[in-house]
Amino acid sequence: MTALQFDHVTKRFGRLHRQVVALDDVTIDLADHEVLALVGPSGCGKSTLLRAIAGIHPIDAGTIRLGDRVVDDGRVQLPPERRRVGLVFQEHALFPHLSVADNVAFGVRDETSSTRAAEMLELVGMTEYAERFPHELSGGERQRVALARALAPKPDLMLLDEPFASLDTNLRARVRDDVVAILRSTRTPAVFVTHDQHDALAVGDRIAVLRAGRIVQVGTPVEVFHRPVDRFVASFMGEASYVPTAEAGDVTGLAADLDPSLVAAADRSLMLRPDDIVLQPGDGAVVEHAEFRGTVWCYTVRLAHGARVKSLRNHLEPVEVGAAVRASLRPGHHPVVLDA
Amino acid sequence: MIAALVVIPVGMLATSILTPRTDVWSQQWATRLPGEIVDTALLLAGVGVCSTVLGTGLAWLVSAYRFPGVRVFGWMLILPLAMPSYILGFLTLATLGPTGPVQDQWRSWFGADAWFPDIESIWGATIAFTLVLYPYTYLLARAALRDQAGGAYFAARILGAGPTEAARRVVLPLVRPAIAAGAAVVMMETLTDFATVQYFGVDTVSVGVFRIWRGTYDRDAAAEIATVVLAFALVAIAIERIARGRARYGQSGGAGAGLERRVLSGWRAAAATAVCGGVVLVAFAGPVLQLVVWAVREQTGGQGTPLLDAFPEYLANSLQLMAITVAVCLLVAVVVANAQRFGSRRMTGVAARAVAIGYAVPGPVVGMGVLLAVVGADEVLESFGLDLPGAVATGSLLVLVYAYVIRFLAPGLGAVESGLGQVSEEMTASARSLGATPMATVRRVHLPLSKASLLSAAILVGVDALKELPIVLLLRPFGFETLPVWVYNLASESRYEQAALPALSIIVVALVPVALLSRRLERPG
Amino acid sequence: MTPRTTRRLALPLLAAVGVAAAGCGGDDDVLRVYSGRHYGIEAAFEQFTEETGIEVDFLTGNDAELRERIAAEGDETDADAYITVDAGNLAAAAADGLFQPIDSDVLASAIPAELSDPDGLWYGLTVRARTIVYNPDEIAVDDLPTTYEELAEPEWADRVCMRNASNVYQQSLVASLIEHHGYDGALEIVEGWAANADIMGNDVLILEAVNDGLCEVGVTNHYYLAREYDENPDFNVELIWANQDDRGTHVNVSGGGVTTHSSHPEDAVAFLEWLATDGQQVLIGGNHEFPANPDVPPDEVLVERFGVDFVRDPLQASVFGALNPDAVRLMDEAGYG
Repeated sequence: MTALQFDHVTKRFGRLHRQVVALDDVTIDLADHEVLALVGPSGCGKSTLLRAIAGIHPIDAGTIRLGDRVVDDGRVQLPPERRRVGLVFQEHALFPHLSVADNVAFGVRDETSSTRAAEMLELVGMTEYAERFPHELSGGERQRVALARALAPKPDLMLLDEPFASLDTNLRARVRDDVVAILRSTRTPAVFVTHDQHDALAVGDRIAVLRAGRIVQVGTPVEVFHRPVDRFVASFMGEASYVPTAEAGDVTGLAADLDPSLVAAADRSLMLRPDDIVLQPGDGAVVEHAEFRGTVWCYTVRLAHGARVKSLRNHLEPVEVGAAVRASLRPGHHPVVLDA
Repeated sequence: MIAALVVIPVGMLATSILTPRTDVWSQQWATRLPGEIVDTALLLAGVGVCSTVLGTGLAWLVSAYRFPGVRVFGWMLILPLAMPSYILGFLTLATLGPTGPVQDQWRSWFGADAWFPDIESIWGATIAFTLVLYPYTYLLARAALRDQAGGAYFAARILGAGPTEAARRVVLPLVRPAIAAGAAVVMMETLTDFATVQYFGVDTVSVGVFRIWRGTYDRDAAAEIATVVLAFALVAIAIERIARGRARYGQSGGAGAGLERRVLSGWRAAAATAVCGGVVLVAFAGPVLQLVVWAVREQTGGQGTPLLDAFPEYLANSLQLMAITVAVCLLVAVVVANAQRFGSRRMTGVAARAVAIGYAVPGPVVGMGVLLAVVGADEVLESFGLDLPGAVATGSLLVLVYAYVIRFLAPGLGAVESGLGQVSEEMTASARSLGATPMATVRRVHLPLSKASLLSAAILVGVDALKELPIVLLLRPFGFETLPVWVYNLASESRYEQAALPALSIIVVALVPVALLSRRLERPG
Repeated sequence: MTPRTTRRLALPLLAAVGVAAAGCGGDDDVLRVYSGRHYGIEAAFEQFTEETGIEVDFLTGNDAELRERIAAEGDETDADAYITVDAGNLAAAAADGLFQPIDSDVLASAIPAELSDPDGLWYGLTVRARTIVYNPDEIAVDDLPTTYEELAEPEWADRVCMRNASNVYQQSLVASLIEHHGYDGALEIVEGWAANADIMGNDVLILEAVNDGLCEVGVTNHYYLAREYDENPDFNVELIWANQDDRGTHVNVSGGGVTTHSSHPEDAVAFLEWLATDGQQVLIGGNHEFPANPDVPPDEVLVERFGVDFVRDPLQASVFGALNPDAVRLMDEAGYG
């Protein structure tokens, strides 16, 4: 059974003449217990999608179902408080006038609220902060309280809007892993909005890429990363280099399993991730730039016909900038062909 | 320094309290004072509560819902700010009072003894004050709703709270400090009034002060009773502090998002439109229409308004006074607010609170205080051999502006402080470390960032300065007549219909800054 | 502080000071008048300048505050003359030493002694009678009260409208009662009023209330009623002169004096002399007061509608003026609104 279903959903903002289409005919499903990562650049409509689910933005056309309930069909909206979803805002939106415990207990509408709040605070490891106020907490602490508050009423679906955007890098990975673990432990399906591909790859069972209000691609993290449908998705999900199919011969092994018709095509490129390419002694390519990344070096290499590719290489095997090398495809990799 | 300049004039009047005259106190306690205190308390409570409910309710309506006319009402509801209370006072009485057309009609329908609410009462005065003062709570509540409430409101909704519950449990506590500040302003304005209440036969302590001053020619005795007014002001400030509670909400409710407006339809939409329209009609459109009718009648059939040809001069004087007051008030407010940021906190904090006192003192008291202080200063200078011409000592525009600044610094300072509050310490620190002097930091970082708040401050001070009457009456230079003085000269002789045209002109001029304010309010962010 | 900043900050201040300086000072040959009287003075001052060549500047304001201003300005005051309504204000100014004695045969002969200060510190210029008004449809002439004192009787409960205690004319009426009946006698009368009367915020409201039949009778200054006739000749209120069988109707004055520190005392005296003689008509203008100078005829409305041959209370204006503070306290004590 599906936890969430979007059926041809359209949402517009603004008045007649200056209308912006925020969601354009979006159709997507979310399975039970599934965590969906929704990614895309700023302004692509991902926050709007989340708010449409939560009931903050009514939609103009299409249908949104939560479980077997229609919550919005473009005409009638179920009010937010009856949708049984949890929403964690980017800025957390904790109630500044309530203590941490009261914040968490807010949504539990029976006599169990205080015990439930205590449970949730324990789950997020914030028990000793129960009597503090939001302004006395750090960013990561607020994040956990916001999560505990959203989880406390046992929502059917969790929505997280850029929940880690306000955290620094070190904290970010840890809080992210904690949050995913908690979601999995409570078996709560979730939609997770982020503009960060690392977050998306790490937490999503599936990833949906949104661009200008349209869903461009939906798939597992591996599919979306390695088999992007276009250069936009490819570049958005990670570092990518592009070699025109006509120049595939510049990289050893690249033309091997390429359809011969594509070799002649002028408007196609091969997408290469930095780990797809190995550098060997030889010639045909020149190392232009070296970037140290701790465990590895990342080299930018100029191929014979001028295309540039990136290649990762263990730090124990450095190569000089300016050196002539031979670029080859790492065995077992099958680069995807995209429109140029 | 600035604080001292503000406090001294008020303090000079207050010194008479140090040598209290028990005969005045005991006579007043035995006769009228207890009743005046009760009436003052009732009036303040009534106006405070009504303005808060009306202002906050309307702010919620136009912030949270979409209904026919909501955008127009958004700014129209501020318009009553342009209406001086002394004008609405005589208008209310002339139309709704026992001899006004409404009650005449009423009696012709239901007989001469038909019951009608007594307009000449605390309730009548409460309604009149509420109608001119609610825009203060409305403005502040709307700003707070826009800046703070959006995210928190929906967070509460998503957590299962219905609209009413979310408003009650989350939005109200969040905007409470703003509402409390608005209510405090409203109560101060009510407290310092002594003219409008008299139209309604309400005997407040301020009325008592002026009756003693003007009727028994005993300034010291009046000043002693005036301490009761100050006590009320302190109570109002205390109530505001308590209502604000421990709230120090630096954190915004979420992504700076305002409330997503819900669309109202059917009878709900009609009711919302009717409520907003009704308030605009009763508080602004109706009174203005009445003034227009009177003005036309006077110009076409009656005696006409005297001195019509001097109107451009009066207007120019009013505008000049307003402009100078705004400029000086803002300058002083920026200096004081920044002294708080750069200087020793304890000293400047106390000073900044002290300058707010002028707002809690009735205009004529400020005027008298300034008069005495300036004359005193003049005598001191003379003893050093510096003889200033008399006109500099009193009755110059300089002295007039000085008194205005004392009276109106507080609202300006409040807005400037909140504007500078948006500038973080980190920004100040980065500007300084980039080599900017404190003055350059103010100019290049603080002022651009708080431009919006400065504009609001300018508008609030400007509207107040334009409407101000008692100070200009007492301290103005020879030949310096303003629009309110023109109205006063006619209204004090009960020539209300002849006063209609000048009264209209005040409202029209005040509309300009008010319109600016509404435009600012409509713009997001 | 960068020079540019300094300039920017200094500009508004300089502008303020500059404008302020421009607003003060001025021509030294001008006669300056502080006036608590607001109506019709411009025309009078203009005509005075035309006839005498003496320029007049004036400043209107509240009586009490103008008096405080003259006192505070002391010997630096701009004011050459102070004109105000109500004998109480004039007496208070005299008591504060704000007036210098005027030695003028013109004034002494033009203005009756009871309308002036005995020491010649101030002279009354116009006369205002405070008396009883009624609605002829509501009450028969035979049933009318004939004295102020009568209105304190229980039979007038809820039938009379009166002015609030903050009003100077009501105060001066009470002050005259104190002189005639003693403090306790006056207190009893005012307590009776407080029990009977609907207290209103101004005289025009009282007249309209009587016109509408809300009160049968009221107590107001005479000229407010004359003004109502200007607007509406059918205004249904008539006037009777109070206390004609005993001391007469209470009359108050508007008047003026020459300030102690006047820089142009001769011009100021000439100004008052002119107002008391040739200027009487224009000073009264459309305001329907009685001229203080008995040689000047009152305007026609007064003659036709009210009759001008009534007995005035001969009480010295300076006497009830000095009793004004007592009157205020008495009304406090009586609980008169």
